[in-house]
Amino acid sequence: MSSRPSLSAEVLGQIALMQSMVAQLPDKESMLSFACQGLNDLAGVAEAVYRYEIINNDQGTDHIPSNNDERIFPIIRGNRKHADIILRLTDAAAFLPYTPYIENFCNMLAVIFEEIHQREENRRLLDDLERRVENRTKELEIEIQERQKAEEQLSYSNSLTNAALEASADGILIVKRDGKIARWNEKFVSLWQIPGELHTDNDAPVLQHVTTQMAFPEEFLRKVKELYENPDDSSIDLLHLADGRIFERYSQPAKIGNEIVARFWSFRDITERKRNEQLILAERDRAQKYLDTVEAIIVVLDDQGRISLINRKGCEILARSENELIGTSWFTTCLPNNDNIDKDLFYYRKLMRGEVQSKEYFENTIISADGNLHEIAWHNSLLLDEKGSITGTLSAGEDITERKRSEEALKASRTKLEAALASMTDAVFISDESNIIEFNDAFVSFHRFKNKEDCLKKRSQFQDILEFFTVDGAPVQQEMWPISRALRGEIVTYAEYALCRKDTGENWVGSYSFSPIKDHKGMIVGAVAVARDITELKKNEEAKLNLEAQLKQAQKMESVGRLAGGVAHDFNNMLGVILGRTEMALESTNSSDPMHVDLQEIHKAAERSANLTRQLLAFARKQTISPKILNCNEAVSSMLTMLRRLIGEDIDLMWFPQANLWPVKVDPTQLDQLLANLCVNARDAISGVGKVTIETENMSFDKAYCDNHPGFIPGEYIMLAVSDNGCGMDGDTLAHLYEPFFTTKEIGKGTGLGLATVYGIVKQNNGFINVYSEPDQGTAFKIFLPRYIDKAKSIQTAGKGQPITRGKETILLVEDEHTVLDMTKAMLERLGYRVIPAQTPGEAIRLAKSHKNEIDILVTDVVMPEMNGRDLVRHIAPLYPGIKTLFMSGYTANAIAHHGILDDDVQFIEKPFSRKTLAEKIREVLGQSTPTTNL
Amino acid sequence: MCENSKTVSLGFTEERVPAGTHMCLIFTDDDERLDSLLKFLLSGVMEGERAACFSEKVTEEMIRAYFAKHGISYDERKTDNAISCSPTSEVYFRDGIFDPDRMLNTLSSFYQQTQDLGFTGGRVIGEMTPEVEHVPGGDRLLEYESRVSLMVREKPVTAVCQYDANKFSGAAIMNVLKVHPKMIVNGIVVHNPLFIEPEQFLKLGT
Repeated sequence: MSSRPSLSAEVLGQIALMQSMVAQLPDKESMLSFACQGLNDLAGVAEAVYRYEIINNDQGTDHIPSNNDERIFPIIRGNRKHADIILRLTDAAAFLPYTPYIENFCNMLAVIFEEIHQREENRRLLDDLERRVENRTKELEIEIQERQKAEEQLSYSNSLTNAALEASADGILIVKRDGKIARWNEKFVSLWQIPGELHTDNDAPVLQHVTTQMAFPEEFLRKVKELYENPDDSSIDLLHLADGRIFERYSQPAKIGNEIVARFWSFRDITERKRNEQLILAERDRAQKYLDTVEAIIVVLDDQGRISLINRKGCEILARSENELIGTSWFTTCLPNNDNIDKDLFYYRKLMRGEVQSKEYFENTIISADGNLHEIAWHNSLLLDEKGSITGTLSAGEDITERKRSEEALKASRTKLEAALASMTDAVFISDESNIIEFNDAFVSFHRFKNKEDCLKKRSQFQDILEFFTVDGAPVQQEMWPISRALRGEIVTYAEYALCRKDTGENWVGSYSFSPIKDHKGMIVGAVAVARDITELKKNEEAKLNLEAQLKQAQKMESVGRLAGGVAHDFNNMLGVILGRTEMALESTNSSDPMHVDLQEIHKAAERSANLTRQLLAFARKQTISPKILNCNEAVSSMLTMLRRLIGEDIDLMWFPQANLWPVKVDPTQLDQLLANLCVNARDAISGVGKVTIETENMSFDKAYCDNHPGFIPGEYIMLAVSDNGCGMDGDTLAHLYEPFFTTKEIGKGTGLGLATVYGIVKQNNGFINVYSEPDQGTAFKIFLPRYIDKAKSIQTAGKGQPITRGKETILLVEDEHTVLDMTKAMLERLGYRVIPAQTPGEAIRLAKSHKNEIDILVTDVVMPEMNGRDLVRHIAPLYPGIKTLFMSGYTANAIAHHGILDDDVQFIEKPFSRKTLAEKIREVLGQSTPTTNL
Repeated sequence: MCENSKTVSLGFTEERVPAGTHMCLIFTDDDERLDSLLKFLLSGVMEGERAACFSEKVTEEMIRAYFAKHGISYDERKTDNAISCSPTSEVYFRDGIFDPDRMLNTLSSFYQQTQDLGFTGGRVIGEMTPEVEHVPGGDRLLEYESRVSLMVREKPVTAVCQYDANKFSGAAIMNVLKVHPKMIVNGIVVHNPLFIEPEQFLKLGT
């Protein structure tokens, strides 16, 4: 050490501190890392690391040699190396002085490590020892527990055996091979009344004591001896005691393993049981007697399906004796030989095994020995032994063969009845005294129920059903309802009622017939009712009546119109002559002439008459008209001033036009007639102050609407309504409203043609009219005129004809009425025209052909004897191309205009006409650019 | 180190040390550690110093009870700012990082407040936990300790740093020794021959 360089006190302190501190560290790893971290700083040391491994080497530890670059300091204690501290050197010389200190340090570490190692080893050994002690302790505990358990089980087993022995109802005796008594129980002692002095292990006195109690002691001893001599034998027999008791004895060898060690005797007192068995046998005999008196088959089957008991009735039905039947299989003997036997037997076996439930009731067919089949209704119960095991069945069967036949017949009858009821469209229901017992589907629908279930819900009595309805508008008087009457014996062949469902308000009409149902004794037991929904029928009848009334009315109107029209036509011609001649006479006379005034009055009267005939023609729809497309609102508006004047200042005229009113095609003068007539009527219905309202409206009616509103026709219309708040009309007045000459006005105030004219005009224009009126409530006339839909036509507005001019043209005038011909000829000539008159079409054609010069216009009547005006034109026109035509007629019914309406390009003048009108019309026709070509 | 003639009692040894001594206490026994910590705090308060404790295991309740045994009201002293107690994690690892600069500022401020409040001196006892090896900045622990040695020369806060030898590795303990000029061994403050002067240590580190 002295040859080595010494270290400074500081370094020594450091090493000392390391030595001091290292011992405080908790484990070897920490100590080694602490040391190396400290040694890192030593002079000449580049790095200090450690290698931690424990090596036990009995031959001595291997030292890894150090070199100049590396010094290895093993930490060794004895033969155990704990680790190496390896110093990697940069300067071996500089490090050299540290070597012994590091070695000492490592020795110190070795001591510490060895201590730690020993401590750990000791702890490990201690732990191992503790663990082993603990394991052994546990093993011992388990062994003790198991031993205790085995002892407890043995004790329990012995106790159980003793308990079982004592709990036994039998007296038990165990006798060993050497004749010593091994064990008996208290029951044995009590059964045999063993006295206390015999309570030893000696068998002989006990046997003697027992033998003395036997009724047949020798037989008893013989059997005992026999069993003792044959240790392997077992036996069971009965012992009859002298006091009357009966014991059942059971004996068998007792073995341990295969060795017989004793004999086991068991005695049971069965005296009571035997007595009961005898009682049961007696009871059974008595029961058999009862069974034989029962009028039902009583049969008991054992678990194999064999007959173990059958009564007299059973034998009788099966036509076999009891002896024949007992013990035989029920299934093969008593059931018809069909495929079901195996199935029935299979079911029965399952029943006996408890695999299926017993059927308490069923019906089947059995066969007797003579081959007759019997329908039997069975009531069954299972027979159980005292353990509850199934031992067989007990069945009671009733022969229902006859009853079944009756039921089948009844069922067939009922099926037919049901089929009949179901097929009926009439509602049928059958009731007893209060309940509905049968009804068909038609009954359900008739009463407006959803279905049968709905009907049956709380409605099992017909009274309940009635509560759902009112009949003829009132609650049903049940006693007066036909079914009640039928139940009292009355036959109601036809009754008609208007029914109404209270809940839904649905109405219908039903016809009913009711009859009582009587039983075979003639007693009323119920009633049957048949009902039919006749709502549609009633409606149809009503509609038919309405139609008939309408037809009658129309026919009446048509005939009246035809009559009026015919008269008016001829009368019109006469008026034309009167007017024409009067005009000419007026022209010929001076106004100062007294005759002039008379002529003027004649002319006025003739004009009034002409107006009357015009109205008649209008009513008859034979008024010649020129329909124009017009706006009804404009037409009404233009008339308002005149209408106000017409109705007077005490009555307000209200006017409500609808905007965008559809156009109509109607003769404007007819529209004027309509309004004037309706307003005059309205005025006359109001006494004093009142109100008249005119309104228009677009209206459309579909078929459904019209079906429910008689008089309405499907389509689009404009409605022109004139209403008043006057006196209104009653039903009688309304019925004759449109008849010509029917009037409610005072004599002289009305012609009776006003509404007839309105009616005719409306009909002529394909419209219809409705009137609504109530006495004292006023009246509303609603006229519906068809909407005009040809937009190509312009709407006609008010305008007047061309100015009157005279002319010089040549006119071919044709008129079959000579007075009219003469008068018209005179008028035309006065107007400057040259006239070629002809009284017949043939004459006209002849004159036309012979005429040398031009004929400018043909003026012709329409209806003439030889040919009508239209045909005449067809003859004349080819002779004079460019000829114009003007028709004259009082009406145009079938000739010129179809249905009285002029074709647009046909020129027409209505008779009678004035000279002025004729002059204007002639000029208008002659002014046309297009000649007549066809009609 | 500043010329500081003032000595202070550490409580757990009769020996007095100069104010501003920076020392480490390597312990393996918790009771020993707790005993020295409480005594250090009590003696400081009793000498009119301001004391601070940074520890995860020592609670105010424990200090309160210890002080009470010696007739001192912890709460009153706390109200007077004479003593404070905070968990290590809140002081050293605030925001989940270890920041030597922040810690040095904290110590510096502590000293300044001690002066401002008129205390005779200041002392700190802190328990470092192994968590430092896992938080960001934890690798600067030795730098921090070395800089503390520098700081206390100017601002003589007496500081005891506690390290549990059972929780730090041996190498770590050795490194701790290298940055504390004094160490407490068996309750005695001794010169640490393994200490490396901060100027040298910090140079080695950089």
